[in-house]
This record gives sequence, C-alpha cells and structure tokens, in this order.
Amino acid sequence: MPLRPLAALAALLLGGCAAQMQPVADFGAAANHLAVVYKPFAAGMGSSCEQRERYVALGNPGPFDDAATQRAAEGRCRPLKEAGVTAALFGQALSDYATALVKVSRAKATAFDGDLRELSGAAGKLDARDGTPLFDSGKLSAASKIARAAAAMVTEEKLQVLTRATLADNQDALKVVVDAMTTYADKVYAGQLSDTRDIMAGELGRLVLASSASTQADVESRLPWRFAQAATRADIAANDLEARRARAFGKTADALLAAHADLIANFDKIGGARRLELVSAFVAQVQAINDDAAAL
Amino acid sequence: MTTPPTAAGIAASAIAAATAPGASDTADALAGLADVAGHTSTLLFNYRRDNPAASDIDQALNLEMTLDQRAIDLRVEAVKLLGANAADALAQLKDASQKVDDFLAAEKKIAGRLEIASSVVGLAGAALVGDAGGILAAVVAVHSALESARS
Repeated sequence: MPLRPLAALAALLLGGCAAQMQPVADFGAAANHLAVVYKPFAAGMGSSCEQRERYVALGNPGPFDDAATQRAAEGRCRPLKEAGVTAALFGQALSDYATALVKVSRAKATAFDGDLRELSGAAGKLDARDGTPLFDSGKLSAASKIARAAAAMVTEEKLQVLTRATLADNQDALKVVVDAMTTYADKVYAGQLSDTRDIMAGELGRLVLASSASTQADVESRLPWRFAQAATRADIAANDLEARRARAFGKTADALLAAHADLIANFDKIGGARRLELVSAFVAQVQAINDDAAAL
Repeated sequence: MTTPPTAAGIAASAIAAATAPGASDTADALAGLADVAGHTSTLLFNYRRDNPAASDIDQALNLEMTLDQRAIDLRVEAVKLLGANAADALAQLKDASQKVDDFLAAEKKIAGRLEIASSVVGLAGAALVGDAGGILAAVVAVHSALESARS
C-alpha cells in the first residue's frame, strides 16, 4: 500500500480515537486543575501555624524580638512544614497522572488547558521519601504508583493506546491518593486555619478596643493600634479564603473518584464521564473564591 | 506457657478485628481532637490576655502551650488504635471531643475551663499513644471534668 493512503488511514483512526477520548482529556484537565488548587495547601499548613505562633507571641508578656519570634515559630511548626512537603508530592502525583491522561488521549481538553504543564517527575521524589506519620508508606506507594503510571504513559505515548485496563489498574491507588489529599486539606489544614483565625480574631478585637480614644489628645497614641487593624483584618480575610478553598476541595474528592470510575465503566462510550459535571461544579466554585480574592 | 485459645476468645478477637476502626476514621477523629486542643488553647490565650493579673495565669499558660504542642502532634501523627476496644475507644473519643467543644462554647467560668483543658491534654496524650484502654480511661477523666465543672 502506498504511504499516503496509510497516513490518511492513520489520521482517520487517530481522529476517531480523539473523539472517543475526549472525556479522558476533560477528566485529566479537571483533575490537574484540582491539583493546581491544592498546591498552596502544602506550604500553607506550616505558614498558618507560624502565623498563629507569631500572633500568640505578640500577646505574651516579656521582651519581644520579631526575628526571634519567627525563628521560634518555625521551630515549633517544623513537623507541619515537613508534612506539607510530602503533601505537595501527592498533589504532584495527581497532576502527573492527570496530565499524562490528557496527553495519551490525544484530544484537546475543553477547559483548563492552560493549567497543563510537563510532568514533574513526582515518582522519583516519592520513591526517595521516607513515610511520615501522616503520609505513611502505603499512601506513598499509591502516589508513587500513579506517578510511575503517568511517566510510563507519556514515555510510551507514541506506542501506547490508552486502555480501560490502564485506568482500572490505577483506580485504587488514585483513591488512596485523593483520600489522603482530602484528609490533609479538609480536616488537618482546615483545622489549623481555624486555630489561627481564632487567635487573630481575638487580637483584632483587642486592637479595636485599644484604638478607642476618649479625647482628641489621646488619638496620637492610639494610631499604631488603628493602623495595625488593617493588617490583621487582611490576615483574617486571607485565612477565610484559604479555608473556603480547603473545604471546597474536600467536597469534591468523591466526585473526582466517581468520574474516574465512570471513565472505566463507560470507556467505550463517548458520553462516559457524566459525573464530570460534579468536578466542573467544584472548579467553578473555586474560581468564584479566587474571584472574591482578586476583588479584595 | 501459653493459654490455649477458647471459643469465646476467638469470637472476641474476630469481633474486635471486624470492627477495628479504619485509618480514615481514626484520622478524622484525631483531626477533630486536634481542633478541640487548638480551640481550648485559644480560649486560654484569650483568658490570659484579658485577665493579666489573674492568680492562675501560669497554669493557664502551661496548659495553653501543652495544648498547642498536642494539636501539632495530632495533626502530623497517623495513629493506629490498638486493643480489643479500638472501635469503641474511637467513638468515645469523638463523643468526648464534641462534648468538650460544646461545653467550652457555653461555659464562661475559667475554673471549669482549666479543669477541662487538663483533661483534654490527657486525652490527646492517650490518643497519641494509641492504646484503646488508655483512651477510654482518659475519656472517663474528660467526663468527670465536665461533670465537676457543671456542678
């Protein structure tokens, strides 16, 4: 057979494949977007703990040195920061898997295409990491599995056609990874944010009280407290937005896993990923939160 | 010399194994207890800030710092609950956490709060060890503290 008709046939087959794989590409892009939303949570845990420690130190008697306070806060919050480093790798593993699905699908995602980057190589980093109490070896293995699957899919992209078996083989590991991310975001990180908020809210109340000047002559001495209110309110507003993101992330885990299971169950049907609507709804919710943040 | 197994013993072990709490349930309960520890610590901080001349200020500070550390520990530890009553211990732990939170939201007397805070320190310590018997004993102490604070 001459080469040109062969190429045309290949293009036709690939075109048909792309249409069939559109739900895979859309799932991959949505899952990757979730990983993008999750990314700040990893560093946020330690930062929020440090912020709480600094606010507590502001209210304690005795000498006060801001730099020393920061160092003490870093020391106390180090375990949370280390947990955050591992937490970040889980997000990277999800992102790698999602990105690989988009690439192997050979279809262009209908949304969140701009979020897609190259693979991060999370598998190697996960393999080199010891299990931490929060992210134990079983969870690390699951994250490593989907990251390795991503690397294999992309490396063999030109040879391999995505099969139902590939998705099915990774469903359990994906569930472990997403559950671990959800616990981290929705329970642990959200709890830390709430602790920090409570301290800041108490301090803001005291700043407001201290700002009160009964006479014009008293105003000058109250100015530091009056100016300090704005910074505290900004800290509280940022905390509130982050808490909303963390809670929203927690609500979407089931939808993401259901969408992946749907892809497996309806792999041969074009309209297979109907539950992607749930994931899309979450993404819209997070976008609304980000819009709120931008408007501040 | 080992005691030969009995039917009752085998059945008890099987029931305990069947009802052992999952990792996710445990993580949720510990995260909830961490929140209670953090919340209690915040109340003590606010007490110190608002009552700088109080006689029990040092006690409040010690409890507050211990609770802060417990909250951090509970957030990074994945504790596996051990013992035949692990599922019951977990349920009791969650229930006690909720009761403490409810109490602290309503109770304004600091004496009651310090007693409850001490019992939360004990419960958090027992949870971190992971022994079901220790948790159940600490839960009893929490309930006693709640009773005493209400009377």
